[in-house]
Formats: sequence, structure tokens, C-alpha cells
Amino acid sequence: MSIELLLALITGAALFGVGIYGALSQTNLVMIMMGIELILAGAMVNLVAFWRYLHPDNPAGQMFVLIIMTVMAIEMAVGFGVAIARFRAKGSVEMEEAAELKG
Amino acid sequence: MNLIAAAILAPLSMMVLILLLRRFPAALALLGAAVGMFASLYLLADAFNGQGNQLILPGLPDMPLRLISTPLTALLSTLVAGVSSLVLVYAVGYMKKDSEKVRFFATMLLFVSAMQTLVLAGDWILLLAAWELIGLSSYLLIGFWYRRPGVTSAATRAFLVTRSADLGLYIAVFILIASAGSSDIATTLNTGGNAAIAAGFFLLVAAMGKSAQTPLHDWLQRAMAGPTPVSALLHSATLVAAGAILLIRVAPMLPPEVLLVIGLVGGVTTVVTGLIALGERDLKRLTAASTSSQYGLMLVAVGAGVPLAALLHLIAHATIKSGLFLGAGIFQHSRNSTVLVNLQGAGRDRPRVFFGYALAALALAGIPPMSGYFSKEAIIAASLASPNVLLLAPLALAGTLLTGAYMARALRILWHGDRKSHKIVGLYWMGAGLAGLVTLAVILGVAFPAIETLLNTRLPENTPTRFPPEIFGLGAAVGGLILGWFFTARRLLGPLLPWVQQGFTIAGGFDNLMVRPAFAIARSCERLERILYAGVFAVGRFGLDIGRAVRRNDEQGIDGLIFSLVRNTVELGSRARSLQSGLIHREMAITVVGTALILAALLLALLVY
Amino acid sequence: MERDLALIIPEIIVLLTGVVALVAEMLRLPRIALTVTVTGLLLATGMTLPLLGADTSIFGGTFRIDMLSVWAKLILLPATVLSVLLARTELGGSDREGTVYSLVCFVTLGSLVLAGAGDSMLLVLGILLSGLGSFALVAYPRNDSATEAAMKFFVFAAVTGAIMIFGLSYWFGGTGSTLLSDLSRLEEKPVVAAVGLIAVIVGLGYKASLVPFHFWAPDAYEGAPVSIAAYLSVVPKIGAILALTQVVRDLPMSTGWPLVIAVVSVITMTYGYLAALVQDNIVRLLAYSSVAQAGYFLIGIVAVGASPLAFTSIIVFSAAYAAMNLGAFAVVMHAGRTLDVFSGIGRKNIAIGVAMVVFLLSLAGIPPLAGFVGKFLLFGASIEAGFTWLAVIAILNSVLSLAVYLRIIVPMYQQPIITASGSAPIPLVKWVLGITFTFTLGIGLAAQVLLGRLA
Repeated sequence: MSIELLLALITGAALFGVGIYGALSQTNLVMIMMGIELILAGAMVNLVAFWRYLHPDNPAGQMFVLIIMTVMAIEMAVGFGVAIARFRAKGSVEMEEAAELKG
Repeated sequence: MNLIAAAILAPLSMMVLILLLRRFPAALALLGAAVGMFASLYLLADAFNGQGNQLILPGLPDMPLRLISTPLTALLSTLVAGVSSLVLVYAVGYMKKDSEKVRFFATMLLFVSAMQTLVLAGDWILLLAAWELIGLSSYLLIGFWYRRPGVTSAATRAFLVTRSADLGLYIAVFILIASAGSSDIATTLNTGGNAAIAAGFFLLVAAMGKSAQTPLHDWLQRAMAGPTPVSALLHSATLVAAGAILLIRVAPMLPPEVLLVIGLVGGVTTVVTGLIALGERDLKRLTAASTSSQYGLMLVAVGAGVPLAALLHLIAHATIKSGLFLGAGIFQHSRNSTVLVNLQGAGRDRPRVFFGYALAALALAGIPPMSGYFSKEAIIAASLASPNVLLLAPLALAGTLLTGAYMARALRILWHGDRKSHKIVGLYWMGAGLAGLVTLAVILGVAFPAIETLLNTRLPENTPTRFPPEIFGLGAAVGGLILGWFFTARRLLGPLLPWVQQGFTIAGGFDNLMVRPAFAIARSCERLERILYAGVFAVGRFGLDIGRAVRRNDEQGIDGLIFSLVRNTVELGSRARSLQSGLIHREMAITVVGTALILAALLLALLVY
Repeated sequence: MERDLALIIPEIIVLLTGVVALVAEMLRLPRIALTVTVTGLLLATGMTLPLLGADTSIFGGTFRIDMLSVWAKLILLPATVLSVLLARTELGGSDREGTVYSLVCFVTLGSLVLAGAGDSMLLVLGILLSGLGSFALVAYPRNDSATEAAMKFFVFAAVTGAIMIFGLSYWFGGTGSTLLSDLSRLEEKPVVAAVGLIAVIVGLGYKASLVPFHFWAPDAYEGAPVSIAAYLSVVPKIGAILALTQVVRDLPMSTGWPLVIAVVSVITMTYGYLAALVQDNIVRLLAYSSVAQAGYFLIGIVAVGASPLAFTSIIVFSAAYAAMNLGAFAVVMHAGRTLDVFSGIGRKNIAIGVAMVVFLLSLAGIPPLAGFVGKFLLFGASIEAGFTWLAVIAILNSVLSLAVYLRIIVPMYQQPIITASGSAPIPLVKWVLGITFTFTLGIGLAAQVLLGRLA
């Protein structure tokens, strides 16, 4: 394994860790979505690195990155849709205030 | 149209018709029972001619559902049909004043057809289905008067106890099918080795639940909440019999280890429940306890390796016990009570009913020339000839002695006392049912040699003792009758009486002594942080719990087990619920930690292997 | 290429149906939207029939037309039709009614993509497609609890989905390909295989509501309209289960995946039934019951590769589960959401009572109903695969499950506490109940015929 690949993979894993921490620790829906973006960014860094250093002959790696970008965009759109619907109903998108359904 | 199908479908179609028309329930029920009876008799006649019938229905892949008529199943089917027909005749009178005849007769017919399916089933899947169905319909029947206080809980308890024991049947069936590769009962009987031992034990558990064997005997006495014809049917040839029938059918497969345990369970049951019957203060509960006791005797016979003796006693007992219940029901109607104190002298008011009841009682005790005599002799002879004679024979003889004693006690109480019965309706129908059953109970012994021919097996002739076994059996029976007629339960049982009347709380409390501490430990293990302390506290807890259990005399043993099981399960459930806090962070953190744990475990496993 | 397109005609029809339904809704023609949806979905079901028996893959191996994906269409499309009928009864007349039908079509499409996935990217797309519509469906009533449910659902889906994508990136590194059929190259790289496997279990496990990824399910079902809850508990869940089956069939055994899935299965069914035991809200109770049922599906997945019965058992149980779960939810929709309103309902309305008892007993796996046949096959498959202990635990759990379902059945035949909803069901619900009831009984009885077709 080349040192460049290793560096890229470490970057990806670090992005994943920061993202997970963000998604778990933030209470605002918008901030949680930012954490999720970071996890997906980590995945993209991984994929690009794997494609460039291990399997440059297979374009599936690039394809996958494009698909993840699409996923990010669509997911954010729907996420903001949900957030707006919530804001209209309750006046806040804080997760801590959404604990009526439980048990 | 296959005759096997007719035996099952006749009651079933009449049930549907009753539910659709919602009128003439009694007449339609009798019609259904009669048609079913003819079909069964025809099957039996075919069996006598050496001709079997079978019906194969599509089922699971490579495991078709089959109904077969062998000599054994045809005989049992006739027994079910005969007893249920006579009980239905009686029920026409008994239910005359009840407003919900439609529901009653429909459920009875469902029950009969389920039982026919169970008896005629030739493969395990169908047997399982029928087993579940009779459990369900007996739940409906015991809970028939659901508006009366305590009735639903009695029905639920009966359902829960038998249901938890049913688990044994499921496991046994899976073991058998897995090891034999076929669901056909006849094929799986060739199973041997450890599979047979394991399956045998689990089948025994299932049979213990249904046939109300110690320590699961308690539910049967509580199940007296249903109408009397229901009790008569449940106790004689159907629900309770299912356990014994199961063991009789698989007897060829059972290895000696399992046989010994079966014999011991039966022997202990016959003595324990015989004592309970002797101390009982209620006529129907007395009869119920006696049912457990008689099924215990049948298990002794199976355990001694002579299932034929068990079968003969099953047949004799079916007619006798339904007769006893029907008689008890008439006495109940004439005094509006089943408590023995209120029934004093009830027999003298109706000498003809009492005569029939007494005949049945003597037959149960084993007085010649009635059917009970022959079957009981066969059981005692079997226990004397078995390799475990020292364990089984004393228990069987004690059971016989107790049978005589409690039946004589019931007769004495019914005969002595004031005459104060009032007129009752439907006596004609009830008397007809009773008369039919008692006649069968008296004369059925004549048919036993024919049954032996039909099944092509003989009871073992030679006995290792110098005296013929008749002397032991008859001595025990007559001795029991004399004891019961001349001495009160108080004199016979002495200081044991209060204990017996509580249904052996402390003996039944062996659950208290063993199960409760086990649960206490389990409870303390529930929370992870306390696991470390559990070992230290277990010893102390054990002592404390024994003390507490002895003090807690009111709580019945097996109920305690079931309710503490339920309590613990529900407690676990609410723990699970508290994880669901509604706060998504905490929930998601659990998810992520769970993922990490699974991943860590998997990586660890990969590194090690 | 023409051949490939011809093989996905049912999927294309579902897509077009969703689009046309959306257009109809824009023109304020909800009835047209309903008609188009029902006919479109039935047409797609019909077009699937010629595919029976096919076993091939298309678009360079990225999408599989095999036993799993064909039967997925035959089960999920009719289940979607029934859900649409339920939704019409519950939400009919509300404004934006047509969007429900359109969204349902897209979610079903996503589930079908999952069921036939032959490529990591298709897994991602299927999860996305079936997820996005689901959030909108849950949030449909736009009130406090519905938006709360949708928000939790969304956060859960987004996080688990991201974790899955991250794990899949390692699989690409390990195999140099995104095709699932190339996963066998991971034989020499068990650590990479394990990381990816766990990620896939997280992503698909959330959709199939496996423990510990199930937390969204009870909340979402409770907040959503009952018909939507019924739909979510059946269609996307079965899609995710089949996707997991597609993944593990190519995964080398050396990663130890059967054991991992067996453990998740035990945890899932035990936890689900324990939690169901203490619920007072029937929708939540059924939600936890559907969590537990997901654990039973996993029993079949454990046997994939080791037992020829595995696929059959998963398909039969899927059909049985779809019928009995939709039926139970339909009764809840008719009667109400709390245990109290169920008291005495069996005595007021005999047909409803009998139907509910049959659905619940089938869920508990009592012979001879559909649930029993499914579970029996699952147990058989796992025993054949050498996982006898798993079958034994599952049978033990069945006893627990009976206690759960008896909690509904027993009050149904007691004195009513609340005297409401004695009304006869609305015709559409009657239809749904009739169809699911017939299937619940019929699958049990006609297992032979069904299995003959499969084999």
C-alpha cells in the first residue's frame, strides 16, 4: 500500500469520525445534516483514493462518487423539506424537543 | 368420500350449519355426532377385517398431511365419537335453561372434530395443528360462562399451563422430523439413540401438561368452572386423554430411560392427586383430581412397557369418568351446588341416578366384573412384571387403594343426609346420557379380549410373583372402598388433611423451594452491573427465599412459577421500553455503539480463527 | 439492451404510474390518480408473470432478474395496491391526496430495486429511493407528532445510510468492483469484508428495522397515518431483507457472516417481543411485533448458501408476512389505536373479530395458518444449515409472541370498556380484509402449490 493511499484513507476515516461525532452530538436538525455530509465526504475520499491508487482501470469508482454526490443533494433537499414541515408545525427543529413519541 | 374425512367433517359441518342457522342447535349437534359415530364404527369394522384406510392431503413439500385409520386410531376414534355422542345427549337436558345454546353446541362440535383429527392424524404437522385446536376450543369451553367471576382466569390459566407444556411437543416434533427426515408418525417411530431420548422427554412434558400430571396438575381442578358436559368430555376421552394417547402412540419408540421417568411421573401423580381427591370438599373438584390420578396410572402402564394396559384403562376410564361427571351434574342441578356438605343425601333423593353413579364409582375402583377391574388388573400386572417393579408396583397399588377410598367417601356423603332436593328440568335427557355411559362402563370389559385381537398384541401372561396379581389389585380396591366408606377423610388423613386440602402447597411448593431462588438469581443478573455481586448474594438469597416461600403458603406452586415467569418477562419488556427514550441522540448512540460492538466481535473472531 | 429493457418492464410501469399519478394530482384529479395507481400496479404485476423462472442479470450484472426479485414483484406490488386502498379510506378527501399514491409508487420502486440489487450502487439508490418517499409519507398529516416522527425517521435514515456508503467504499477498495458478484474476491481479505458487511447490515438493517437499528420504527408508525404504517412495515422492509439476501449470497463464508446475522436475528426477535409485551398502543405493539418478525426473516438469510430451502422459505414468509401484517393493520385502522377500543370488538363484529384472531395467530405462527408455514420453512432451512440452536431460540420466542398477541385477542372477547366504533367496516377496508384473510388462510393450506411453482 502506497503512502499516498494510506494518507487518503486516514483522511477519509477522520472525516467519518468527525461526522459521526457531529451527528450524535448536535441537537439541531440542520447541524446533524452537516455531520452526515462529512461522513459521505469521507466515503468519497476513500473511493477516489481506491480508484486512483488501486484500480485505475475500473471507472465504477468514479461513478460511485457521482452517485454519492447525487444522494447528498437529494437527501439534503428532502431533509430541508422535513425541517420546514417541522418548523411550521412546532416552530423549532431542535431534536431535544421532539421526544413525545417514546416507550 | 372417504370415511376418515366423514368422521371429522360431520361434526364440523354441523357446527357451521348451527352457526349459520342459529336454531335447532341441539338437534343438529346430535345429528353431527351420530353421523361421525357411524363413520367411526365403520372404520372400526374395517379395521377388524384387517383393512386400513388413509387419506393424504397436500401439505408441506415432501411432508403431506395424512389421516390414517389403523386398528389403534380407529378404536380411539370410536371411543371419542361414542363418548361425545352420549355427552351431547346429556347436554341437551343440561343446557335446557341456558340462553346460549348455539355457542355451546357449536364449540362442542368444533372440539369433537378437532379431537377426531388429533386421534386420526398420521403425521406430526396435522397432530400439532389438532393439538393447538383442542387447546383453543377447550379454552373457549372452560370460559363458556365468561360473565361469572373467576371463569376467564380459570380458562386462561388452563390455556397457559397446557400451552407452555405444548412447547415440549413442538421441540419433540422438530427433533423427530429432523432426525427421521419425514413427518410421518409411523416412520419417525424408528428413531433411536439420543434423538429418541430427547424427543421422548419433550413428549413427556407435553403429555404432562395436557394430562395434568404432577407438578402441572393444578389447572385441571381449576378448570371445573365450565359447564358439566364440558368437564365430562374434557376429562374422559378428549383433552386430558390427548397426553396419554400421545404417549401410547409413540410408546414403541421410547427408550428405557424415558420409560422409567414416565412411570415415576405417573406413579407420583396417582398418589399425590389421589390424596388430594380424598381430602377434597367439592364433588366436581374431587372428580377432577381423580382424573389426574387415573391418568397417572396409565402413565405407570406405559412406563412399565405395556401400553396396551394403558389403552384399556383409557377406554374404561373414558366411559366411567364421563358417567361420574354426568351424575355429579344431576346432583348439582338438584342442590344448586357442588360442595360436598350441601350434597349430603342428594343420592337418596334420586336412587336411580345414585345407582348409576355408584356403578360407575365401583367400576373406577376396580370391582369385578366391571370394565375398570380388567384394565386395572392389567396395569398392576404390568407394574409387577416390569424391571422397575420396586418403584412402580407400590405406587400403582397405592393409587388403586386411594381410588377405592375417595370413591367410597363420595358415595357415603351422597347417601347419608337429609332429603331436600328440588325438581329439575331436562332430567329425562340427562338420565338417558348417564344410563348409556354407565352401561358401557359396566359391560365394556367383555370387549377387551376383542380389542387385544384387533391390535394383535396380548397382555403379558406370566407374572414373577407366586400370587396372581388379581389378589393385590382386588385387595387394594376393596380395602380402599372399606376405608373410604367407614372412615372420614379427617380420620384417614389425620394431620395431613389441611395440607392435602391446600393441594400440597409445600410439596407443590418444591417449586417455591427451587424455582423462586432461581428466579431471584436471574433477576439479580438482569442488570449488568449486578452480575458481579450475584454470586456473593446468591447463597444468602437462597436461604431467604426458602424462608419466604415456606411462609407464603397461600400461593400455589405452579401458579407462582408461571406468574413469576410472566412478571419477569414483563419487567424485561419495560426495561426494553426504557431504552426507547424518544431522544434520538441517545437512541442513535445505542445504534452506533451496537454497530461498533458487532464489528469488534467479528474482527476479534477473525483474528482468533 | 432491448432485452435488458424488456426484462424491467414491470419497474418501468411502476415508475410511469408514479409520474402519471403525480400529474393527475397536479390537475386536482385525485380519483384519476387512484385509478391510475391501482391499474398501473396491477398491470406491472401481470407483466411480471412471464418472468417467473427467469434467472439472469442485466445491465452488466448490476440488476438481477432471479427468483428473489421476481417474487418480490409478485408480493410487493399487490401489497402496495392493498395499502393504496387502505390509504384511500383513511386519507381520501384530504388535500394533496394524490401525492400519497405517487409517493407510494416511488417507494415501491425503490424496494424493488433493492430486491434485485446486484451492485453496491444499486443498494445505495434503492435505499435512497425507498427512504425519501417514506419520510414524506410519514410527515403527510403535517401535525406535531407526524413531523416529529418524520424528523427522527430522516435523521436515522441519513446517518445509517451514510455509514453504509462509507463501508461500501472499502468493498470497492478490496474488490476493485462495485458488483456484488465480485464479492467472492474478498476471500483473502476478511477484515475488509467484515467492515463492509457490518456497514451493509447497518444500512439495510435500519430499513428492515433490525435491533439495534430499529428505534425509528415505533415512532414513525405511531406518528404516521395507520395505512402508511401498514405500508412501511411491509414493502420497504421486505425489499431490504431481500437486498441483504442478495448481498450475502456472494459473500465468502470465511467472513463468518452467518453467525453475525444469526446473533442479530436472536437479539431482534427477543427484543422486539419483549418490548411489544408492555405496549398499550396497538400501532406501537404491531411496530415492535414487525421488528421481531424481521428477526425471523434473518433465520432464512442465515441459511443462504447452505440450504436449498433458504430462498424458498424467505419468499414464502414474505408473502405470509405481507398478508397477515397488512390485515392486522387494516383491522387497527378500522377499530382504533389503543388496546381499550379493542375490548369487546370481537363480540360486536364477529367477522372483524375472527379476521383479527386469524391474523394475530398467524403472526404468532400457529398451524395451519400462513405464518406457520413460513416459519416452519425458515426453521427447516436453518436446521439444514447447521443452525439448530437458532431454530430452538426462535421457537422459544414463538411462545413469547403468543403472549404478545393474546394481549390483543383476550380483550377482544371481554366486555367493552368504550362503546364506540361498532360500525361495519367501509367497503374498501372490507375488500382489503377479505383479500388478506384469504391469503393468510390460503398460503397455509396451499403451500404445496406455491412451492411447486417455486421449485
